[in-house]
Amino acid sequence: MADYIFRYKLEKKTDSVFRDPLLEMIRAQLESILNVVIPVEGQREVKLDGFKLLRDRRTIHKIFPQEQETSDFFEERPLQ
Amino acid sequence: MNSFQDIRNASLYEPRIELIKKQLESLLSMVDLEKDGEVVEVDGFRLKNLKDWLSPSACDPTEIFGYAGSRCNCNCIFCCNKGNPPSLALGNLRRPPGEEFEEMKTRLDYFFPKAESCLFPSLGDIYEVIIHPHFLEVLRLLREKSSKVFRITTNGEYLTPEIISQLERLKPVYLYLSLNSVSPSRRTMLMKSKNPQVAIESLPLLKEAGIPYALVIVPWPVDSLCEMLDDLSNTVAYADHNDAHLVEVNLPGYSTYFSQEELFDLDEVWVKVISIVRILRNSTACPIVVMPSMYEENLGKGRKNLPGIIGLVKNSPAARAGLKKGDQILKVGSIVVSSRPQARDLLSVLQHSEIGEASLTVEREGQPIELSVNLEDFCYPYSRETDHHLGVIFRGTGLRLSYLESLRGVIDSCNAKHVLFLSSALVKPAFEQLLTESHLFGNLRIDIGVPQNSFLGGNIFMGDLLVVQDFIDFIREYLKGNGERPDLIVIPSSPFSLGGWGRDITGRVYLDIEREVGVPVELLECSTIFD
Repeated sequence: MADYIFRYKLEKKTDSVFRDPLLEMIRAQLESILNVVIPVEGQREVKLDGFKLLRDRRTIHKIFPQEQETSDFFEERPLQ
Repeated sequence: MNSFQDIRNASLYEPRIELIKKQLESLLSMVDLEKDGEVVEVDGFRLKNLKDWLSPSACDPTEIFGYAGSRCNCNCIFCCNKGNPPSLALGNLRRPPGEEFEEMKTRLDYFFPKAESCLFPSLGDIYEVIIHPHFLEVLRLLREKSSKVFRITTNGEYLTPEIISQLERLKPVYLYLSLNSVSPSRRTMLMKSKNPQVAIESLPLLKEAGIPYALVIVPWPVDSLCEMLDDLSNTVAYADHNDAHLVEVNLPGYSTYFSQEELFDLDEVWVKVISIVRILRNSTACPIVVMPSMYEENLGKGRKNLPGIIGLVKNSPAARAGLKKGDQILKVGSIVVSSRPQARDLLSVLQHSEIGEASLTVEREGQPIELSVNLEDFCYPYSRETDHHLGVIFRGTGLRLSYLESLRGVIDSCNAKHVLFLSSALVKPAFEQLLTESHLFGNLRIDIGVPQNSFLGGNIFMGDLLVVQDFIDFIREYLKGNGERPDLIVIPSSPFSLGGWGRDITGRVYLDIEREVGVPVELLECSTIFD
């Protein structure tokens, strides 16, 4: 007997933060991933809030659309 | 073709599906997919190998038969599902019953109680399961795979002698029977019941079939408070007469989506209900619990979290050993008991052990009394399979002392000195008591805050129903009003514990709180307080 099929609908992406669609594609994917995983370096949790493109290391792009009140909480913290 | 699943529900229980959806949508905004040189228009995706989507689970039978509860044959005037906000991730898919049955059968194929794994859940609100045309068939298939108790919530409209006889063959079964009123006219008025006699007359039939049940009452203040309280007394007496396992009184509440206007004074109604319940506890043998139980405990000024007995299941080992309402448990065997969760844990161990006899020491009228409990001495409505604490009923779960040790661990791991701990109006008094009596936090500043349930609104004030935005709003106000910023915010994990992925009931991840407020946020692992 065949399994029940679990189907999910795709919609047109409408919630862009950046105008550049290729940049937005990377931002959206990082945002989605960071809602499911916690990145670590060695044993330490790393809180990410932005990224740079390898071809342009001077420009930082924010991952999350919210306005943060401070930025100093993005320091690394040890894992328990 | 099957219906699409609800993606918001998936974001709660299995957010990797939401991740796939967002990645696909993101990619498809940039490229077209091809097959044989032609562009393929893609509008959905499906899970490939279901065995890849197994997740750890206690394999409670509800995880299978709960999918039968997508409809209801009553229309209760107090139905909490009517007050659900549209953005809740626990919505209900409306599909043909045959399709629901297909999903339940597939879920059963991937239901592995011994391995403690099954397909990730996608349950929404559960209405009435017994009206589903395939319900009993699902239970029969389920019984082949699980010997666990089927705990079924029902409005009783279909509890005919035939259905009860079928359920009897599937034991162990325990029912939460929402009778609400023993009066046919009041039950009809409250629940739009079409045949109130069926539910009312089911109580002696359940007893005859040996199926224990909790009789559930939502005292809703319609007409007059007096009528409501009289009806409550009559309904409890009827439950007592028919050997209900216990009576569960669910104090009424509503969200702003249920009514934007105040329907009643919550404290007035709740206090009056509790006053009547306290009188009824003296005149009935059947235990009566009031939920949320911490509200009743907070009405008193005495110590919280004590292992006081508020009722005993009839014919249970504890009742037959001579324990009484009002007793305070001092010792289980030779172990001194200091809190309610500890007493519950120890009694639960006894309940599931093979030993035949145990000693309990209680305080009664200021004197310690030691009683011998014969664990083999019981009959209906008590049973080893469906009970938990030898028949002792407490005023709710209580707060575990171990939470304080965990809190200290979280604080130390973040090297914090000033902590904002977010609690709820119900839990705060007990938590403050534990904190004051603890020696673990001497050199630390711990502020306790109580966010409002603005998302649900109405008169809801439950910590486990808070959402990410409620926490953000509270913390922002707190930061505005305090000169010093805390260096850590700790939130109990229970509002984010449904799927194990740190999501609130709208599917939003708790990590958004620290992203928005700029102060590190840690969750304190703790269980949901259901009572």
